[in-house]
Amino acid sequence: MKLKILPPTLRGDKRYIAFEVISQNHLFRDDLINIIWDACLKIHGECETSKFRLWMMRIWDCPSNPGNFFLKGILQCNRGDEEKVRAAMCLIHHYKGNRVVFHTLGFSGTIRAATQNFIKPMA
Amino acid sequence: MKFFDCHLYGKNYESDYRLIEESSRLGYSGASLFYSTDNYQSVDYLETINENLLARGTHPPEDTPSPDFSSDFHLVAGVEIRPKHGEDLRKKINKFRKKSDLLMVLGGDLKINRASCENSKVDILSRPYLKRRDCGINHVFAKEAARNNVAIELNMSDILRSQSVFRSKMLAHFREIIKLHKKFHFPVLITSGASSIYDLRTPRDLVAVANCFGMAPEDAILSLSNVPWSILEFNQQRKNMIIAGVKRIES
Repeated sequence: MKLKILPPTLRGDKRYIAFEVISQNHLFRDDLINIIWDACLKIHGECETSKFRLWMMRIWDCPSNPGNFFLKGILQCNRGDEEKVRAAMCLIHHYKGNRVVFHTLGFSGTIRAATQNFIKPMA
Repeated sequence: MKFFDCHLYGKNYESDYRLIEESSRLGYSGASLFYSTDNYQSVDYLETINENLLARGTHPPEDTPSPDFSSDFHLVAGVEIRPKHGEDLRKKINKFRKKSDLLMVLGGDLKINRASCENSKVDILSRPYLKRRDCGINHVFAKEAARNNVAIELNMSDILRSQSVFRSKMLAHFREIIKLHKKFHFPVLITSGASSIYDLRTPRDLVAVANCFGMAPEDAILSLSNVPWSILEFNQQRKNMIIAGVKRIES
């Protein structure tokens, strides 16, 4: 039996973090999820990370320079914990022996606004 | 808000150009490249970097990942002094003070930390906690640093490049320095200490990390913006200063 979904008033508040990744090798969705979870667990610990409710919403492949791969993505997290997630993402520097860097582009309350403002900004 | 990354490691033209280009893209309005005392004399390409940045700023290339490429970038070259002892420090300060825009002393040794805090010709004391079991400064050094306006640098690459026990010890050192900063009000600088584009972080990301070691976001923003600009402004007027508190005004 499937659980009935909670009414909107009982659901937790969410924020969406738009970010970009520059890496030496191509990264997939699962790699990004592993990297972010590991970083949050390392800096904030298991107890604190359990409050973040992290969920990778979507990633975009961007034009890359030779030797550097660019990705953009949107990560869902608990409202109020976005600065902690941002700090954890900032401290990521390596993955499987290759250099990686995460830059937070901004926060938003909706996926639509995050996409329009940070991922595909209007000219 | 105009952010300034006060410590990038300069190497050669290609590497320095990529660093400056990337830091401009990440939202910095200025940056300072630091060279060793041996390499500083031979650096003559900073003007070329500035000109190339200006040329690219008016026509952002297609493959630039983000369009917010600012063309008015303030680039400064500085000298990083790595003294062997106090006398060596004094000689190198006297040699490079008038030649460079920024003067930074690499700390770690207690005598060097103290001599740097007591010398008003020094702009920045870099990483006083280096290879130490404590943060490298105490209340005496903190008072001297505040009196002589010597900024203490918190290098974020030390947190980035360390892991587990070492990272938590580094955070503890930073927390100690922030505690002294709140009491004695010496200037504190937050820098990326980047030598490649993978070490660069956006200013807001650095503020978020600074929050982890007990620095208030407002203080962290000041450390990334007002403090470096005020050091540069002070250094521009340094040649007109006869002694502390007396300045020559040209009519």
